[in-house]
Amino acid sequence: MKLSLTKAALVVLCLGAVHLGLAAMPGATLSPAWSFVLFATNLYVVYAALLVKVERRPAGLAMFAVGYLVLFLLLMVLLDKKPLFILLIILYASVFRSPFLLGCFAIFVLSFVVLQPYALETFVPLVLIYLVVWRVRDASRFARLCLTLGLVMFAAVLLPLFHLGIQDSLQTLGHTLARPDVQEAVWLSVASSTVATLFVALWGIPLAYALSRLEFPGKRLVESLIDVPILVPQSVAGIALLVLLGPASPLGAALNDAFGVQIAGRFVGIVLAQVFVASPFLIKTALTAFAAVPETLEMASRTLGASPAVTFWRITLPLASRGVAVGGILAWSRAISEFGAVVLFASAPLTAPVLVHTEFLRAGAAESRPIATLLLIICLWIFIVLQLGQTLLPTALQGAARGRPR
Amino acid sequence: MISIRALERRFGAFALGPLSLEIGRGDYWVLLGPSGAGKSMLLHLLAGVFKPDAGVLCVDDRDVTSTPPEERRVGLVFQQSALFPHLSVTDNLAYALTVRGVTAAERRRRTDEIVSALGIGALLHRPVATLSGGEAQKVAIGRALAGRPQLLLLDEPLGPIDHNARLELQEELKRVHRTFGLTTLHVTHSRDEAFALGSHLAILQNGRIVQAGAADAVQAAPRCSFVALFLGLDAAAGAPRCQRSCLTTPGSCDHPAGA
Repeated sequence: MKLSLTKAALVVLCLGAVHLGLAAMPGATLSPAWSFVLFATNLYVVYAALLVKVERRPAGLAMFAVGYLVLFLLLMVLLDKKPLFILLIILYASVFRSPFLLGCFAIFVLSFVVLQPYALETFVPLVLIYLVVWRVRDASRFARLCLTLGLVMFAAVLLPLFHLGIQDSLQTLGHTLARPDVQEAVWLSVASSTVATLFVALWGIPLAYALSRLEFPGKRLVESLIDVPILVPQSVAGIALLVLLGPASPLGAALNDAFGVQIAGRFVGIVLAQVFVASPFLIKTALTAFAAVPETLEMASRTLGASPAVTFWRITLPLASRGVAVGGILAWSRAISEFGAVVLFASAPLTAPVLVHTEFLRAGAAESRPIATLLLIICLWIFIVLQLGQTLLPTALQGAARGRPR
Repeated sequence: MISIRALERRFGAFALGPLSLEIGRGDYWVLLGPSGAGKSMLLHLLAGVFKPDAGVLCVDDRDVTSTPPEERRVGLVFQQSALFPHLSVTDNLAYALTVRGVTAAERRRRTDEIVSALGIGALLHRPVATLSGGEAQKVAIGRALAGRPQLLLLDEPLGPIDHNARLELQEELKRVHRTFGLTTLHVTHSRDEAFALGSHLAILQNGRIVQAGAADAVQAAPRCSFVALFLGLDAAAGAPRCQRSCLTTPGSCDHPAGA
C-alpha cells in the first residue's frame, strides 16, 4: 500500500484533534491519559481500516465501521469498561480481515461480554458449531443455514446440562461421591439398568430377529405394540405395575405367600419397571439391524452346511451386532434414567434419580445439585465409552472403506 | 443323477412349474430364459432354500424334496457373490468345513487345495470388501466347492462382472468343471454364456421348460420359433412357428412343456 507522508500526517493530525477536542470539552469524562491511549488505539484502527479498504471487498469498510460502533456502544456507553474496550478493539482490528478469526472473535465477545454469566457453557458449544460450519463452507448456503440453525438450537436445548455440569467444583463432587447413600444409589442404578438391559436382550433379540424374517397376520400390530411403553406416561406405567404386582394385588400377595418374594420396593421391582420402559429401544433398533442383513447371506450359509441356528450365531448376529449393541445402549440409557415408574413401583431402595428427587424435596435444588451433576457425569461417561465400543463391531453395510485390514 | 419330477411352487401371482428334468452325473446344464422366467427360483428350490408345493426331487434315487439345504450337499453361487463381509477370505473359503466341524489341519489342507485349483492365493489376505466383482465371484465359487457338493448351482454368476473378467471367469468355470467333474446347473440369460459352457441346455419361460436337451440337439432342432429366437438361431430353419401368444404364455402353442 502506498500512503504518502503528507496524507498520513493529515490523518494523524485530524484524529489527534478529535481526541484533544473530546478531552478538552467542558464536562469531559475522559482523563488526558485515557484520551491519549484511545488516540493511539484509534490510530491503529484507522490503519487497519485502510488495509480493509485496499482489499476492496464490497461493503468491507462499512462492515468494519459497524463492528467498531457495536463494540463502542456495548463497552464504552453501556458497560463503561475502557481497558476491555481497548483490548477488544485492537483484537478486532487485527482479526477483521480473516473471516474465520473474525467469527471466533464475535463468538468470544458474545459469550464473554454479552452472555457473561454463562460464558463457558455458551462459548464452547458455539465455537465447536462454528468450527463444524466452517468445515462445510463449500456446501450450499441453504444446507449450511439448516446446519447452523439446527445445531445452535440443539445446543440451546442441551444448555441446562452444560450449565449444570460446571456448577459444582470437583471438590464438592468428590465429597458428594464419598457419601455412602450416594454411592449406594449410583451402584444400584448401574446394576439394575444393566440387569434390565440383559433381560430385555434375552428375549428382545430373538423377537426382533423373528419379526425381521417372518411374515404373519398381525405383524404390523405387534410392531406397533412394541412402541407402547414409549407412549405410556411413566407414572401410568408405575401405577399399572403396582396394580398387577403390588402387595395389595392378588398376584403380588400370592408371590409373597409362596416364595416370600415381594416384588414392589425391591431390586426386582426396580428392574421390572426399567424393563418395561427400556424394551422398545432395544427391540426396535435390533429389528432394523437384522433387517439390514441380506437374506442371501443366510441362504449361502445354509447351503454351505450350517443349520439355521448356526447361521444365526455365525452370520446374522455378528453382522447385526452393531445395531443390536446400539439398541442395548439406548435401552440401558433409558433404564438408568427412569424415574416415574421406579418411584411409584419401587421407591426403596433408592436409585440415583429417585435419590436426586428425595434430596430435592428434603433440602432443595442447591442440595440435590451435586448428586444430579454426578449422575449426569457418570451416565454420560458410560454412554460415551459404550458408543465408542460399538463402532468396533461389524455391520452388514460394510463398504470398501470399512474393510478390516488384516 | 438328479431328477426333478413335476416340481411346482407358487410365489404370489407367479407359478413355477410343473417342471420335470433329468440331469446326468457330471453334466453342465445351462438354464436359459428371459428375466422373470423363474430360473433363479428353480435353483433355490434345488438348493432347498424354498420348499416346493408339489412334486419330487431325487438325488441318486434318494428323495430330498423336504431335506433342509444344509443336508443337501449343494453349492450355491449367487449373482452378487454373497461373501460374508465380516470374515476373511480364508474364513469364507473354510466356512463349509468349519460349520461341519472339520479339524483345523484337514480344513487347511482342503482350502489349500481349492486355493491352488482356482489360483486365488493372492486374495487370501485381502479384506472381502475390497475384492473386485470377478475376484469375489472366484472366492464364492471356491467357498461352494470347499464343501465338496454333489451339485453346483450357479445363479447368474457372471452377471455384474465386466467383460474381460467375465471371459476369464468363464474359462475358470470350464476348468473347474473339468477338474472336479461336478454336476452343474448354471442360470443365465446370456446365450453366449450358454453356448460357451453348457453341455446341455434348458430354455425356461414363464415358469415352464419350453425345451431341454443336449446343447447340440437343441441348437440343431429348436422346438419352436421362441427357442430359435431366444438362442439367436435362424428362426426359418425348420422350427415350427409358434403362435404369438407363446411369447407370453408358454403352452399356448402346442409344444409340450418339459423334455
